[in-house]
Amino acid sequence: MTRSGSGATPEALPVPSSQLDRYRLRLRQRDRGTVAGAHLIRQRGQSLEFREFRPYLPGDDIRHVDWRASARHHRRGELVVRTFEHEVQTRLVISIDTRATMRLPDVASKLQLARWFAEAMSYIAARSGDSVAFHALESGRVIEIGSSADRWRIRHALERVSAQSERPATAGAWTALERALPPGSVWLVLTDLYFADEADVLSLAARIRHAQQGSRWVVVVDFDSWACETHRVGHGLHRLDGPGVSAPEPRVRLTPGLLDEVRARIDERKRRFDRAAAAGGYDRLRWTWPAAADPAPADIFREHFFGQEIVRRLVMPDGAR
Amino acid sequence: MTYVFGALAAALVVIYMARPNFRRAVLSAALFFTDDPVLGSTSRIAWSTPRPTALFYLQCSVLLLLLLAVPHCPAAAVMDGSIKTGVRVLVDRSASMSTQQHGARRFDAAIEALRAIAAPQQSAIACFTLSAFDLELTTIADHVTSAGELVALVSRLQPRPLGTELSLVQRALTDKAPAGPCATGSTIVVTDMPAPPWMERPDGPAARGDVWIDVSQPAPNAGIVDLVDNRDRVSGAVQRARVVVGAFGGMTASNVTLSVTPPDGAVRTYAVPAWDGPTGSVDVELPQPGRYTFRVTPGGAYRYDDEAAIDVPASGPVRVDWRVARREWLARLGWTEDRDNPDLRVLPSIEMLDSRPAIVIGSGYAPRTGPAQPVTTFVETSPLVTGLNLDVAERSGMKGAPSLPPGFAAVLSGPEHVVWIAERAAPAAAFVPGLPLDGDGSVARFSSTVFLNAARWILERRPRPPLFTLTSPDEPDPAGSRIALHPGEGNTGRTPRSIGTFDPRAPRGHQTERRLALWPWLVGAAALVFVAERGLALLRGAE
Repeated sequence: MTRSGSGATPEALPVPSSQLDRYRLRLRQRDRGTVAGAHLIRQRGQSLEFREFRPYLPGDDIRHVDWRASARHHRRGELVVRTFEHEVQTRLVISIDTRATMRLPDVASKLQLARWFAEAMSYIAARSGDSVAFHALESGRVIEIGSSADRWRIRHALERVSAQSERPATAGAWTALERALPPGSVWLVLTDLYFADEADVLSLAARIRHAQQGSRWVVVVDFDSWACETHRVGHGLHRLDGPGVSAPEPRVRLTPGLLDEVRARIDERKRRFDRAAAAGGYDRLRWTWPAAADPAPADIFREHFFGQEIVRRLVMPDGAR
Repeated sequence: MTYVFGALAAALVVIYMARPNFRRAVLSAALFFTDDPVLGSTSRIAWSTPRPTALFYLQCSVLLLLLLAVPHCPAAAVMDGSIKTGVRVLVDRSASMSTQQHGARRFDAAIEALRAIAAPQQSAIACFTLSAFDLELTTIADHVTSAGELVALVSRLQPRPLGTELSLVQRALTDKAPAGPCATGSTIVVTDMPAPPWMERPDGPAARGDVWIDVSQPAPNAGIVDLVDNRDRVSGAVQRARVVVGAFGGMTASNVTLSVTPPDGAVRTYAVPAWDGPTGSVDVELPQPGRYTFRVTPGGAYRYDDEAAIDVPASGPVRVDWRVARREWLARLGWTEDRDNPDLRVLPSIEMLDSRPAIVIGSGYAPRTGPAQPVTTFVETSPLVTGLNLDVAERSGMKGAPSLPPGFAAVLSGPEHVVWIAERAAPAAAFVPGLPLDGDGSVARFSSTVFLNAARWILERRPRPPLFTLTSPDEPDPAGSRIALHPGEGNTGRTPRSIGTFDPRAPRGHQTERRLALWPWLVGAAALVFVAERGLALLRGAE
């Protein structure tokens, strides 16, 4: 154990491809008016897939009149036209926070869970024909996956993205992200929001707010292992060590009161982050670790990926509408 | 024990100064704790000024109790490294220390033993007092500061052809150590004599920490153990000598021979025929005056008993100051008249007695045929009545002695406290009823026996010139008939016996008895206060 935390656990995603194959990317219908192509990936028009019947309006292609349906439609001899929809490729960018705080706790690191989540999401998206890119939040590095559903390639790209960064992100790095994040795309930010500097938090919030102005949907997945870590440490006298702590280590008496106080402090920071980041296309979802000394990472993943809101809002079983 | 108390006190100070043990905890959210009050520095030891809390006062009490206990602790001074003790060393340098064993002298073994025992304990010893003993106890140095210097001093000593007077050692160990610049804590005796029983008495030197180191190992030796002269009891003429020879330490006795060189130089060699245990003897006739030299072959490990010489004096007639009648008895007995320097005075009255040996002659005998004079008391063990026929005595008609001066004791007496024969031990004197009577009757023989008993008793008590003298501290070197035939020195077969383990830090027995009373209570009180303090600390820590 070092002050900056351990490395990511190189474990494979504990979900077989056959299970992920049953899902496809689901992006919520948003009432964006006439903004075509926002983060709606389904557009009405000429497509290969029937969508609905509607009354004929002047200007409609006469070829789309469904005469049989019009015959069954007995309302003043109105014609009914058949409307179709076609698939539009969705852009999914997954930013992964690779800072040292994400490499804790040892028993089930947040970075490990984030990598599994990114792997599962990119596999489902690619299987849906969507385009995927990974982005390292710390270094700013962007790795394109495209529509490849090759899990080995995805995993390899994730390893490169989650490698420990030796230099902080620069302004140019954000430029690379903006290029990879066209309007209407979906941006998943996987982080614990444990930034040492408040300015870094507000900077990320500003980026997220700015991204939403391009009709992008930003989902921040908040990896919260507080319950697990504080359970493992317990109460009493401790020398606290961890990312962002400089020598000498703070010497504290951990009590329930102190832990509640610190927890409130963290929550307040996250609320400030939410206020700074929200601009209509922002959501923050929490993945919480159980208050257990030795939780199984695979269980945490399954519980949240298949059982929580994140799944329902991002992916859906194939065939569901 | 002082070290123990010191460690306890130091531990208490450390406990007081130590901060609680902060366990290391790694948290990814650790940075959010940095704004919290820091409870302590990273050091486990607090160097800040003590806070006058109740715990602090309790800990001070424990320290105070421990400090009070130290001076009451047994042998605190001995065990305290800063208060070093003095050590008295008594080294045997008698003749037997020159015995060869394993190719070296016993004295060399003593030096090595001293080096081995003193050097490792140097740090606990303030100084040494060195004394040597044989027939005398001599202080060699009274303030030796190091073991090396001590060994060097002992190395400069040499064994002397003298005997061993262990009573000097016993007195030195029993008596209070002499005052001097080096206060003595314990005593080391290095010798070739086995530890005597008095060392191990319950209150003896060993119980007080003194050490007896016997460096001897059995070594084969044969030598002259004793020379016993055989003299005429009246004239004192030396007729023969008995040479007692011993074999020790595995020496084969049958191979031992005795060579005698008389004054005329004609050497005669005797086998030692009569061994009685480890010793045998040869009776050597000494027909002429002069020096006789005896030599035992083979000599063995100890050399001072291999040879001895005696000087046999020329014998002369007994010199007598004869003041009574019948002077013909001088010629009959072969005595000569010498009034100036007599061996014996023969006096007619008690008033003529002085400090010189004398026989006072009474009123004589009047043999009777009538009623006997009954002997009422007699001293059977007195040599004056040896061979007397008391029946004859009762019919001898002895006249009683006049009033005898103080110092005389009746040896033969009759009714009404009449004294017939009396003796005085010092100066030697005897009262007899009369001179020997002429004739061959029983009373004549009785009277002769009484007179000659008295003469022999007095004459054999006169000082006689010795055949040899022993070496002494004043004249330690053998020369002529001054020989080193001290008893026991040639016995090289003793089983070595050492007692005690040298530990200058060990408590002395009498100190233990005297100081056992208070310190356990003080330490116990300190322990109770310590437990109370720790309990309070735990309670406060749990709040």
